[in-house]
Amino acid sequence: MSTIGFIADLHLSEEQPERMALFLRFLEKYTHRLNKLYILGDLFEVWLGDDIIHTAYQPMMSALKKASNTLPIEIIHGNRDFLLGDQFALLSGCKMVDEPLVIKLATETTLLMHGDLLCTDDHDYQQMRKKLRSTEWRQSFLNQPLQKRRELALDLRQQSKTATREKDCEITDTNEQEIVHYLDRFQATILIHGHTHRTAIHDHTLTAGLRATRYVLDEWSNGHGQILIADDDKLRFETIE
Amino acid sequence: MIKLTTNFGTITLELNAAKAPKTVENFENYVKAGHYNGTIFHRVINGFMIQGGGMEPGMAEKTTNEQIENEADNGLKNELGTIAMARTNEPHSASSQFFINVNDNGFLNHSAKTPDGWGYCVFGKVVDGMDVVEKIKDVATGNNGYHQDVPVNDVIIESAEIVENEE
Repeated sequence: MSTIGFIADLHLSEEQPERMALFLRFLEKYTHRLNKLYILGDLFEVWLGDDIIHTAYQPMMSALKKASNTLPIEIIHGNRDFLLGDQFALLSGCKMVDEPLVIKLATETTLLMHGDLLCTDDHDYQQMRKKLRSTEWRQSFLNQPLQKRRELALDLRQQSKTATREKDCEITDTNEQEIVHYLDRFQATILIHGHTHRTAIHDHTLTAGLRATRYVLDEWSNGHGQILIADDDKLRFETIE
Repeated sequence: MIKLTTNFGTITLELNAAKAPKTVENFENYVKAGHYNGTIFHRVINGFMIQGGGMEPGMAEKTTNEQIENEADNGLKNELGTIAMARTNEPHSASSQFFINVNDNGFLNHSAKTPDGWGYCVFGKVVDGMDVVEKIKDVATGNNGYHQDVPVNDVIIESAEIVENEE
């Protein structure tokens, strides 16, 4: 029997050492229970490129490397750390994977996503997302010196904050049709994602009448984290302290 | 000037041979050879750009002439309504594919003569038919094989021709 863990939205940053410490404790004390770990985006609050890894991240990079020696760790890009690349993967021992990632939990086809792709009511965001993920933008950004990248990242975050604040909360949550669209496309009965920080378990019905369950992971904040555990074909949330 | 007749309407382009002589010559050679007739805008990202000139419906890539020198250091900027050459990661790899900026994309401009800083060569601008460009940028897109952001319904360049300047 294997035990699989799913976490998302840790938003690690050098400005919040307590979050980093919580994650370090998790890697040290908790991960031996797992046979596989999926990180569904936004492990980091911001990632400015693999070539400038902040020294504050060094203990965590070592801990990830150590954990990944015995525990396979796969990571989906989030909207904040979408520049995590090959060098990070090499240094951390983690594998970067594209979303939606399709896995089997017991016999259930399961989709793993960060979640921002599901927020299709926010047209401006989706538009911006495509541009930022383009080869041209990434190449241009990574070509800038560190200071310039910091400024650009800050500008982007300001824009995004302003945009989110001005809109009704409803609009930046996931879109039901888009969820069903993804479930239909892969004939999946489980969807696990983060991004919205609105932890919950939702039921959905696929077009063909199949029932599906969507697990939304919570953000790691206020000194505790959340993990979704899959074993014995059951899924349950646990708190990490 | 260049007239692109698409199934969405006509786009008229004014090319800047003074600033981008080699790129303009290259583009006009493709126009004269009829290369663009029946090609599609195969990569459309609203808020960024619409790219075409190298694929036929069904995403079949056309054979092209030699790759050209990148003249992105000519001072022209990737601003809304400008046309620039598309390329691979290698700076001097443009052939027939081009894109029209649907936003001010300063990050595409030339910044240094390095592989990452070379930028994308602007060689003209839309002088008529921006409404057509606006319509194209709004089309629904999806994935097609290894390609992302491909219009669900073909956006076809029915013909590309050189026309006299209207005085």
